[in-house]
Amino acid sequence: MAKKILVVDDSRTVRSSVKYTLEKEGYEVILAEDGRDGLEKLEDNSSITDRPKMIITDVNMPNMDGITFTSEVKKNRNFKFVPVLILTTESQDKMKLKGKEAGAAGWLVKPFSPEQLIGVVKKFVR
Amino acid sequence: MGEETLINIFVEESEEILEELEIDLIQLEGNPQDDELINKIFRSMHTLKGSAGLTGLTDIADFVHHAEDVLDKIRNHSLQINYEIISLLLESRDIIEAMVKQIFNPEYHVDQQKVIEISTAFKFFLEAPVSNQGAKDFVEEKQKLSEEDSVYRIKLKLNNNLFETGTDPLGLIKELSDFCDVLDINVNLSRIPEIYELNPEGCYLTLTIFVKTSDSLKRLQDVFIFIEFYNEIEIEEVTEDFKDGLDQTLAEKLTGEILVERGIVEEEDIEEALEEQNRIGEILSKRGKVSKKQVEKVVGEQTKVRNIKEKSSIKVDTYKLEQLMNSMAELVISQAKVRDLVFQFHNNKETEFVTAFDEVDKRIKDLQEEIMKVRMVPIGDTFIRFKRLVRDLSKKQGKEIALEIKGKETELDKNIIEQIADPLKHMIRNSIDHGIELPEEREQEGKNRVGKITLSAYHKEGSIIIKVVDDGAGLDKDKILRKAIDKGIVNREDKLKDEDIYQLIFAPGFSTAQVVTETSGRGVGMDVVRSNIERLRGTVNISTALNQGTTFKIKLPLTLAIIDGMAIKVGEENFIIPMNAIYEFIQPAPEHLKTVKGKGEVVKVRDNYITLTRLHSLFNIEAKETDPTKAIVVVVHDEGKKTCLLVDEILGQQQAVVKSLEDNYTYVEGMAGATILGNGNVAMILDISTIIKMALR
Repeated sequence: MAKKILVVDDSRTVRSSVKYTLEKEGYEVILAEDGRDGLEKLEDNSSITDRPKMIITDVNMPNMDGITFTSEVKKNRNFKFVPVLILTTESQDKMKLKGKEAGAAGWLVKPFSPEQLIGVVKKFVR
Repeated sequence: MGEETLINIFVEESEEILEELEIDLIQLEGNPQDDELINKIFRSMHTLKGSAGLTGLTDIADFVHHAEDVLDKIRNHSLQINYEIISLLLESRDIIEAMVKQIFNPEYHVDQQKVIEISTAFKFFLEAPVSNQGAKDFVEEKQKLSEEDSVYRIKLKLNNNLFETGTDPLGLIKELSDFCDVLDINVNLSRIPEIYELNPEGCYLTLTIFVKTSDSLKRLQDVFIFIEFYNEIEIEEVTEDFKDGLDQTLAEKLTGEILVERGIVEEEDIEEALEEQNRIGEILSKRGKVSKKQVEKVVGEQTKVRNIKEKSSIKVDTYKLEQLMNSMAELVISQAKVRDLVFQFHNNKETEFVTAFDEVDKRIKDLQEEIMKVRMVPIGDTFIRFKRLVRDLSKKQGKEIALEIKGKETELDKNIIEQIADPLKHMIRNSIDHGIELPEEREQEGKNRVGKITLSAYHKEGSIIIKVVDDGAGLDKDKILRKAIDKGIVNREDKLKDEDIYQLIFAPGFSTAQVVTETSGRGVGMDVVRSNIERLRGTVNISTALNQGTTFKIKLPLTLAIIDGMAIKVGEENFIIPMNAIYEFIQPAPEHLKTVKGKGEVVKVRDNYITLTRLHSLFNIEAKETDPTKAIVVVVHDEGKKTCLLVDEILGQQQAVVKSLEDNYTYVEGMAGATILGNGNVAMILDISTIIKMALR
């Protein structure tokens, strides 16, 4: 069974390129447009067999930002052990630390290459 | 010294060497790069040659000479070890053994044809050109470090909340193994708190990982990029220490130093432990700082590197050991006698008297335990010897079989090991002949071509369990039953449980082999297996699943010599019930007694009905009390089955020195032996497993 990854980003370009790269590697990808949508998607996939094995989230998003989203995920009994990877940009170095404090497992600095993405994802989902 | 005695010594010495040689050769096949082992084998052959020559046995000396030459070539890496060479060396070992046996039994057959064949084959190998430099380099390369390789020690003190970020330490190790050779991983357990403080979702591990890689340090650091914030990570290059693949510094180091270096414990732990002036590993493992296995592992490696320069052991004649054992046994009997006197004569004022006796009692128990330990030897060598059997038989039958060995450090009484080897051999043969299928058949069943037989040994509740497990075809219940009916072993009308049907393969004259092979299928063997095991006061069970395999489970007592027992009385007769068989003592109320059709008398023990066995009627003796509500009922168990024994009186717990009934009298069903009680009376030791079988009949 393909391993499921939730990708949360408000940019359609990022969503579809990440989805494309991950699917090519054999992962199953579900998408969400912002933090709130992300939490809803998680609720839809909360049974133990449906749960995503990893979450990738952008930081700056409308409705709910990535840091709040991460800490909400970590508060949820069903998902607290799912690794969260945050997507930051060069100018947001402080975000790495904020993300860590919220419980993120790692980060990836935009722009990134497909190889970099896969390399990081494989750290968490083998 | 006369020639006669010289030959005696030679025969004795070579028997020992040949025994070791077989094990070593089989080991060598699995570890062809073990130079130490090659040297040992070479020395064995060399000694054999030398001693044979000295004794004037030139035939043997000449024959061994060839083998020695071949080994010399292997030692110099000019000949590579392969299946053929190992086979040849093993066969030549057998020839030497036959030649040695022939010295005292002139009728003993030595296959001269084989002698010539082997000598010729050896010559061929000796004249072969210096072989295959490429292959040799590969071997070296695997073992030693190449120029580009570096060895790093990575110490990870993982944060308690690591799991909450979703990081899996195993994932890190897997990532490392993508580009590194992970040489060793050690886990420091000392941060694990007491159970009431333990957060089940927390991570308390400190890992020390040794890796070999030609990649950069940067690459290594990248693995830990996301966890370096909250976790302590140290990466240190230690290439110098690992020049030849093995940690060269091990030899000079103290166990404690190594444990710290490997990250298994902290320096503080060592200092604390040192204060107790005891063996460091033992103390640390007792405190739960390290597991016993971890200590054994580093000590084992250390010993290997230290090269066992001085062996602090001496050889003792087994006869002397037997004598020691006998004296011990007599001492136990005398002690029981003194105990009776002490309790008879002491009054409450003389507690010192009793205390002093308790002291003696304890010392004697310690002494006994120590002496028993001397007789205990690990079962490993016996197990490893079966590799040869599996190797040769599977080849002959065109099967592919791997023998896996577990628990080879499990110790057993030497006598038991000697007597269990034969039954085990039969069972393994049975598994090879009837269990494991041909490679093609296995593939059709969707199994691995290579069949697996697992031999394991472990201690459980004062017994030794030995298992022979195969992943073959399993036993065919219907086929066994048909066969047994054909052979007249059972009647068609008999209603048998599955378990009982499987047990039929142990019946005399039973064999389901399609083809009668050289090694099994003669219908002797499996019945001998069961009777041999029963003679050791053991039991054998079978469990099997069609197409999944068969498990033989042998249960043996730790020792044959002494058992802990409860002395009881029925009428005028004394009996001993082994302590490990006793479940409880009860005095049933009248309403708890029932007679059930087909089952006879039963006793209700906490909602369960258990059959009542009247020892007096079983052994045909006069009891003082035949009413269960007035007598005492002992609930005994074996392998999950229970029965209630009706006895008159309980005399007390004591150690019983087992005297075999068969040696001194004759086999009596339900009796495991006899012993002498403190008051000089003889008591029979009950064989609970058989009694339960008799009761359920």
